[in-house]
Amino acid sequence: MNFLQLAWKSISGNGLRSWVVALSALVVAAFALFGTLLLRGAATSLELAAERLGADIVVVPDGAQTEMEGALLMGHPASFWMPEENLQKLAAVPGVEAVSPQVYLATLVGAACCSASEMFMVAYDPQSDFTLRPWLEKTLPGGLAEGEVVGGDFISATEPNDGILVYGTTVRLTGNLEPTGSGLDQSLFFTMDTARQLAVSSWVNAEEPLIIPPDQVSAIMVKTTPGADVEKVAVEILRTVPGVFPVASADLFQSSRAQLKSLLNTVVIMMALLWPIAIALIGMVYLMAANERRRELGMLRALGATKRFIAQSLLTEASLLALCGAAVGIFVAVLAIYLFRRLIINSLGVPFLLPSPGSLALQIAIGLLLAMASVFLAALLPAIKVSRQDPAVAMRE
Amino acid sequence: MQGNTMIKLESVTKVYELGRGATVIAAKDVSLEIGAGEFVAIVGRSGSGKTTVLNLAAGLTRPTAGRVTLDGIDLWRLTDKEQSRLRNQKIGFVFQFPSLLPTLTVLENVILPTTFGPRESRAAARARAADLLERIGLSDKINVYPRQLSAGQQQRVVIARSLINKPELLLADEPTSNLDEKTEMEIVGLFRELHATLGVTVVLVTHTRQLVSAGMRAIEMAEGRVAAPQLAIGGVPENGSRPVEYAKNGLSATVAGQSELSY
Amino acid sequence: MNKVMGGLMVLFALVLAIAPAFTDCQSHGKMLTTADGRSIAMKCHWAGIAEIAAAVPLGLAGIYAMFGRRKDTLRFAGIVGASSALMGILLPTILIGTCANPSMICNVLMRPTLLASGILALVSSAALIMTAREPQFAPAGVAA
Repeated sequence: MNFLQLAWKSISGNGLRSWVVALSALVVAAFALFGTLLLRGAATSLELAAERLGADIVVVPDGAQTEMEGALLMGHPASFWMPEENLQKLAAVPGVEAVSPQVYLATLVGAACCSASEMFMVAYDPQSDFTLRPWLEKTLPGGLAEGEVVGGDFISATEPNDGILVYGTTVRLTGNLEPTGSGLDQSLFFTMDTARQLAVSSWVNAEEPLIIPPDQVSAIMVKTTPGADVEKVAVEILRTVPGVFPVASADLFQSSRAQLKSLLNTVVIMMALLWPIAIALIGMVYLMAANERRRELGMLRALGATKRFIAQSLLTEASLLALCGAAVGIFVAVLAIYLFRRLIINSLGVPFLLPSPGSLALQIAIGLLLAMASVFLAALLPAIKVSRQDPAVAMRE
Repeated sequence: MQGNTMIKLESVTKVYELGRGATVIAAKDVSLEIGAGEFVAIVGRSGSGKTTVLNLAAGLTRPTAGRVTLDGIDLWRLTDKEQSRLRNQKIGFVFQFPSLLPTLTVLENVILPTTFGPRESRAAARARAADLLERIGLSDKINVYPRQLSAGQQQRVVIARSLINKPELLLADEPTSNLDEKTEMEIVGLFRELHATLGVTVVLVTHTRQLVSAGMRAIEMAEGRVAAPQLAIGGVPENGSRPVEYAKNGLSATVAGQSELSY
Repeated sequence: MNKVMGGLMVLFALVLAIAPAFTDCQSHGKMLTTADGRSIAMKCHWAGIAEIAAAVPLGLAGIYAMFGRRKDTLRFAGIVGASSALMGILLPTILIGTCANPSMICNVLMRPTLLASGILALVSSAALIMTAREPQFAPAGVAA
């Protein structure tokens, strides 16, 4: 028998105390992990969405920036328009290397059962496009032909032969993009030509026609010349092109970032409250337990246990409890995040992407260490105190 | 075995501080010697300092003044580790209070002290424990928990535990105070038997003089002092082996047949 | 330990049985409309109803676990609980499934709730089985 076994036996024999300590560790670990996973998942997703967009500056009609972010991040369908001639004006702004238009369309809500009920549709111009191509090419080296679409991760074909019914016309789903956790996962991408064709045939086939105003676009992607100051170019655009609002990629998703920041603050404040409470509670439980067990510990000293052994076995007991509690807490937190991620995305209004297994493992390890360190700290003083007391006094009643 | 000194207290005083300046003098200038192989009873009323003397002898509490030596070793010159090891290897304890760990089985309780000793194989410790349990007549209770045993059985398990590391000295602090008279006699008989067969030095603290029987040296304590170092009750101490008169207390039928406990 | 685990099993059984009534598509007014105009419930609804069949034995096993004393009773309750919990997990995933669209309420709320309760009930039942094992300390040397 070693002190690990002795500690384990003592734990299983002291129900209430063990449950309190393990539960405290559980709550701390679960909350810490839930918070960090959520925040990191959201941050990763935001970065990925901005990266996917691939433009240094996104130009939208003035006042439409929130709507655009809602569409890109949360997949809320949006449509807004500005004159196509803005393309030439933007291309003329110093520091701009390339421009490419995109048209955003919304599907009919509930158009077909059991496919994505709300899809965000993006039409792009294959000639000038520089933003979608790099990642479209991975999925589809030949580019998209007329009547072909590429979907985000959630898009699935509902008709035979990979067909998706859009405004009464069946288009062919040629591939899916990797998940981003943002609105891009429920977006449908096709060329401007396909969009116009859909608009024309929608007058005959759809319950409601798809209207693309002539000579209008929704957004213009801007690429700056290498070395140019993106912020300055954006200011220049704001000054020279009326009626538009340029969003530098670094400033993209401001509202979500703000949301994330307040979320972070909440988590930090909650942790700042929870952690000391948990440590104090565990410390108290241990002090009580140590007093309650004075006679037992004194008896162990009489049987030949050293002071070190007494302190060690109390700390081992605490650490074991912390480990068990934290493991359960972490399991529950990961399970909750994994299963309820869509609910969280919807209710918090931030995108979310599950972390990679590697980073998940790292966060789990940190959570475990945190919980064990807390319990260890809390139990340290009582353990040292009780190990130093005079065995003869301890055994007296 | 007899001849050299096992326990030696030289003008030992122990003062307990109760906090707020209040103190209790538990032992006052106590000097006594107990030889190896002796069977000694320490008697006295409660609060007379009997338990303190026992604790001092085992190094469980540091004397305020004076010197305590065990088998020639000055206890308070040792480090905590050395002192603990000495206790573990040389002394077997039987306590007044129920001292079995409720979360361990009888067998696990008996081998508990080996946890603190030098490394040895689990199997060896278990075999020794099983042997001891058989000798005290509890070999069928090896895997039960202490709460499933009677008080007398529990105290016998404690005695088995005290013997697991083959001690030279057995310290028993009112080991029968929670027991009925019949069981009390059985337990004392067991001590006598162990003393006789193993040659172990036994110091028995008790407040009932009834336990002090013929052929036993008794030290009487009163108000922290040794009142009588050689209280003679019923006779002069002799070689100290009288297992036969205790065997009839229903202790254990195997006793008579066993000449030597081979633990 | 068995009281806590049994309590958890009863709790999760209640969630399994009751949650679908508030979280399936039908409870949020979504029905399939057939060609002749009738409304019929979608499969998430039926998966939710079927969960009751998994929840009842799970809850009963939980009650047994709370009040049982004998180890084989507890072990049996654990086995019944674990298999019912497994059913609770399989019904909305493999056996019946939920609606195809991942953004529908049954997939956002009902399925994760059922899976979480099912998994936690499975873990509780497993813990119950583990604690109801016979003591494994057979001392060496006194095997007879």
